[in-house]
Amino acid sequence: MKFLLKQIQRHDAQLKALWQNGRRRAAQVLSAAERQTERWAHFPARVYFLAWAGGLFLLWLWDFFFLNAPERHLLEIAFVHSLLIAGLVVVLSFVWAWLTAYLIEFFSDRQKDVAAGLLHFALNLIRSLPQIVGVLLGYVWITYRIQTGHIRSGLGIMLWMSVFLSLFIFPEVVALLRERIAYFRQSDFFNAMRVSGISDARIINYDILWKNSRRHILNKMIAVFSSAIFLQCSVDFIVSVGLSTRVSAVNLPTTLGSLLANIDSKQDILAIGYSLTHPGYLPNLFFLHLQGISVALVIVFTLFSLYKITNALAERFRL
Amino acid sequence: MKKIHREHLSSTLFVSLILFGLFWATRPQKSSQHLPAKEVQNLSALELDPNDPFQNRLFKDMAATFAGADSTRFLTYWQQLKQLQKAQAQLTSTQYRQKISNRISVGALFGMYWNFIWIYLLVIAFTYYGVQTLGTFLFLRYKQHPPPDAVKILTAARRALLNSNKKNLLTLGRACGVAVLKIFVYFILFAPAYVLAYSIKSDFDTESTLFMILLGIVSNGVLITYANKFYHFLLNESRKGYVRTAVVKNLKNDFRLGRRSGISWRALFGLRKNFRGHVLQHIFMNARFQYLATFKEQAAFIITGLIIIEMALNIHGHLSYELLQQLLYRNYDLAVLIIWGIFLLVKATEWATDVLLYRIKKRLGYQ
Repeated sequence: MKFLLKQIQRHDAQLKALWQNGRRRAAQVLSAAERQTERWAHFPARVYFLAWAGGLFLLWLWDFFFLNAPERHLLEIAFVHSLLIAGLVVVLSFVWAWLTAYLIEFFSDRQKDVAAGLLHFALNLIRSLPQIVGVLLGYVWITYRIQTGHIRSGLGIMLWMSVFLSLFIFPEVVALLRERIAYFRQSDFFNAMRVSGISDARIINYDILWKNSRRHILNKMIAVFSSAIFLQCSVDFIVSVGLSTRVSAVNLPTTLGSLLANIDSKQDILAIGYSLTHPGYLPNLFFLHLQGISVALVIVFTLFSLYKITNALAERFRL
Repeated sequence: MKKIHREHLSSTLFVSLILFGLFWATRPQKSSQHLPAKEVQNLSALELDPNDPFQNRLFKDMAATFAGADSTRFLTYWQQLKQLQKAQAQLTSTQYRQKISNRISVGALFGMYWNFIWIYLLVIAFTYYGVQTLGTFLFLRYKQHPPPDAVKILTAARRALLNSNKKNLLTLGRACGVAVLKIFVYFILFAPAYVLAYSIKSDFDTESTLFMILLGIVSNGVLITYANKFYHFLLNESRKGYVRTAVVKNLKNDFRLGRRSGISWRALFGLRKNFRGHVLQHIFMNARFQYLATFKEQAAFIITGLIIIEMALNIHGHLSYELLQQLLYRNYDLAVLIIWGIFLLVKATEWATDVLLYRIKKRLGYQ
């Protein structure tokens, strides 16, 4: 009996030692993870970008296993379309903004105040019209052109969508470019370069915008991308909900906004509210209501990640 | 000051003229009060089909036989009959009936506009307060240099693993709880209004005004975007030389919240923020001046948010919902009228902000 008791005690002690050892090792791993996380915190923009991409991949993986194939395929198409339109908006906004900023500087330098004033006036007018109203009117125009058969391909529709979106977003980029040019105009290097015979075009485009403002422009472009996603989703949602009788006659490309306006997605979103009052229903959100939840999550998570990325870049480079 | 008034007045007049022209051009034409000629009425009573080539030929032949050289007069009756039947068909078409039944009076539109204005003013007042409070809170938190949440959780987990006493477990629970709460708050702050709204309610009516105001403040990223902007203004100001000089000269510079030597919660949440005797007062005042310069942009963003809320949630009897309806039924004159009203509201905010900034600059001696 004594022998048996001793055996059990020894076994118990061994287990205890093993448990202690395991805990110590786990603590060491956690400590290493802590150090690594602190290291990552020095440049969080990259981490947030990876977190965004990783998060979306995980969501896709979850959808791959638990969302039916046609709905998942629709979600993938909507996501790609939304990204494509937002990407086009970024490019177009930059082109409009660069042209406008450069023309204002060009006219101001040559004392053509009327031309510069007209550009200012046009910019102020665009700013005075809420973006959503402008973009909505643009969409009305697009649907009209689709009905008359002038716009046919999906790519053409998306291009026009991005044209209208960029038209109401680009004044923000103009403000940034002009701010950067004004900042460098005050410094000595602008006049010094002029005296050295370097043309204004080169100073503005190469020395100021390219060499000294790339980070600012990159940060702004990420913000523009985020604005484009938000505006596009909102307008598509509104158009799908409010203008449905007219739009049903034409086919606008599926985007995250229009997919969210879908009756199934709306039911899925409503289920969030239901599960707040009936917590037992919560697990169903991740299996039965995946379409709407996934679309909402993609939109919110993308907006949040882009905000964090711009913030991190601004802090890192003190923009 | 004159320049500000001139600029705003000219652009307001210019756009108003254009929109008025559009309103005039798209307004429904009043039908002429004259009845068609008696002959046309008689023809119409025969229930003829003016588009039928056989009937047309027969009518022409009859006119030539009975009226001879005067037959062209009868041919114009045929044209008038065509127009009359077209107008009658249009009047009875579903689309036209919908268009007419969905028209609202200008008086009703004005009531909605008035409603929109006071909702907008409330949202802008709350966001003005919210942005400054949240921005200052973020700044004060930054000044404590807290480690990232992930590090906090890992540290607490490590400690709890090495020594599983109640205190360590509680710290771990708190760190995880704070992280979950933050995710939840971020979800609310970044979610578009329609996502938030549909996850809470299924139907929206005119009684939803309070809900709409709440959504206008917290959703669509308005609050967090401008609070972040304000936080960056505070951060940039705090790095300037005069702040360092003030610190060297022994002005209070403890940024801890709720401490006797630091910042009181009351000062942070007060309507008029007052950090007298603390270096934050000067940082705050200068940051607020910069924030005012972005107020125009914020106002336009808030209006965009409110329009999205009203349109996406289909809140009946609200201005933006009506805009959508009038666009849908092609009552473009009323849509132009609504857009004109929205434009005037944005312009009024811009004008007021510019005047306010001018006065502040003048008071500080910059003008």
